[in-house]
Amino acid sequence: MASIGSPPQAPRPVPRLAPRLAAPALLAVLAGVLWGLMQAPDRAAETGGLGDSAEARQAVEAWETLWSELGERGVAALSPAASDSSRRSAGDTVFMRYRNLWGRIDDEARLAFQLAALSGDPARKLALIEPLTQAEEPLIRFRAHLERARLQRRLQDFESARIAARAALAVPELPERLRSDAWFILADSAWEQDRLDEAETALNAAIADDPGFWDARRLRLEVLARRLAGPRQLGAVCLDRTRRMIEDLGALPALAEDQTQFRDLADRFARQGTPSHVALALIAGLGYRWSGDTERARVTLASAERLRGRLPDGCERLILERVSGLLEPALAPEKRP
Amino acid sequence: METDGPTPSAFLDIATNLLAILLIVTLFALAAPRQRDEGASQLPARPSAGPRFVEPQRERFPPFSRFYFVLADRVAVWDQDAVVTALAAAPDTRSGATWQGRFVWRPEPLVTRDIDTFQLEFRLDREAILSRSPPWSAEQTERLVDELAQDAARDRIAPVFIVHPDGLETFVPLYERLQTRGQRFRWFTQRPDEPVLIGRHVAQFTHYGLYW
Repeated sequence: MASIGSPPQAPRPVPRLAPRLAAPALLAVLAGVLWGLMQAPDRAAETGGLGDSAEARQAVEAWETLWSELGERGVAALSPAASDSSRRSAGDTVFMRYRNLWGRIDDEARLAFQLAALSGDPARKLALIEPLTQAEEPLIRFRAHLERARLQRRLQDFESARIAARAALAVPELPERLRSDAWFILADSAWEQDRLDEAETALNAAIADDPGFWDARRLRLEVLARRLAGPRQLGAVCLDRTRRMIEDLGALPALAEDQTQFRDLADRFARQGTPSHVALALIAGLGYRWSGDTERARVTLASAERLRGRLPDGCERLILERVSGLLEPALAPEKRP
Repeated sequence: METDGPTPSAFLDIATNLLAILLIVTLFALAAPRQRDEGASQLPARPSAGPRFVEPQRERFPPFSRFYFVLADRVAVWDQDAVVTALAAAPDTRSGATWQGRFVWRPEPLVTRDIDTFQLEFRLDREAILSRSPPWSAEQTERLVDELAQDAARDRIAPVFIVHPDGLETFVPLYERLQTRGQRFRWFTQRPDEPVLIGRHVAQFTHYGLYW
């Protein structure tokens, strides 16, 4: 008999197979997720609670490296490597800090720079320097822009100083180290105008270009202290800033060949024994410790515990771990019967 | 036959040994705290109990200097730019003169540091100052203090007073007015036969932290 419509089809096996395959697949995914969840706390623990980002890992790695070097070599580990035979890298320009950065130079250009340095009149100084900003020789051009930036900064015209420093940085084909002064003027102008983010970036560039730059390291200590006290910072950034402060604290007296600077710097950040957060307590404590004042170091470090809750948790925890480590040997003699 | 003869030497042995022990104990007693101090921390310096001298912080970018000579009843500003003009007119000269005195120009023969390093020696012609500058008065002190305040505000110029022994009396009221006004200034005494030395060279940074 002819049938009307299509004959009823037998159910295909495929739809029944899919749920059977899906169940083990889902189970595998679930197991994977559970395994991932179980692993996550371990990874966070590896970064001291700073999270699992690449920045956090780098920050913790750099932090641990710093402390292992301090453990092995003491504060000497923080002295910048002397790449110059100069007795010390003191001076207000990179050319003054290091020897023989000039090759053959035009006598006329040299006299103009010298007369500008001799003159006591800011306007005349600027007039003598101005034509040299058009010189063909890149080094002369750079130095002229830099001098203009320095003069404008001395006149406290921060915007003109910034423009001149940018012009100096735009001169091509110069060794990185020479650029450090222009970065420093940018940083200083930004600091004076309360643009801390810009100041921090420029100082990092200045110190990367010339690790022996005392003034840049000294200013970075101030900038970082204020940045650390600011709101909304990531734990990794907080840890990096604290590490840089320790590096600068260790480098400054070595650069100046003056160990008493440890005490002066510690006093500056302790502010009569009341640092504002745990990072500053650590910096001041280290300063006192390296200056030889172990008692004041102990008191300052012990005050860190009371300053909890002002920095990101993970960063604060890692700092306090180091503070405890520093307090242990100092307390040991007192525990003796 | 045994006698009591060796007794004194036995006492001597005992005494020597006791002394040696005492000496060793004393040495250990002296050395132990020292080792503990040094071993407890890697200290670069020992703390001192007395009051500390805190070095004043120098400015990152110093003000501009203007020099004044203070002689008996005279205060004369040094025309520094007259020296600049003289040197610009005769670049190869190593010495010259302005109406205020003679100068010796010493550009460093080799540029081992910055391009603008130099030293200049200036010997003041006291007679010229005494004859050509008008006698100083209380009104002039007031005027100068006002001018310096304006220069400091506008061009960040700070004065440096070079005071000759016969100018100390003249300088006293000026010093007091500057102090009262809170004006920033420096001053130092100088013998009349000594030259003024100014310059830009590396020793300013390596030997003297303050270079303004």
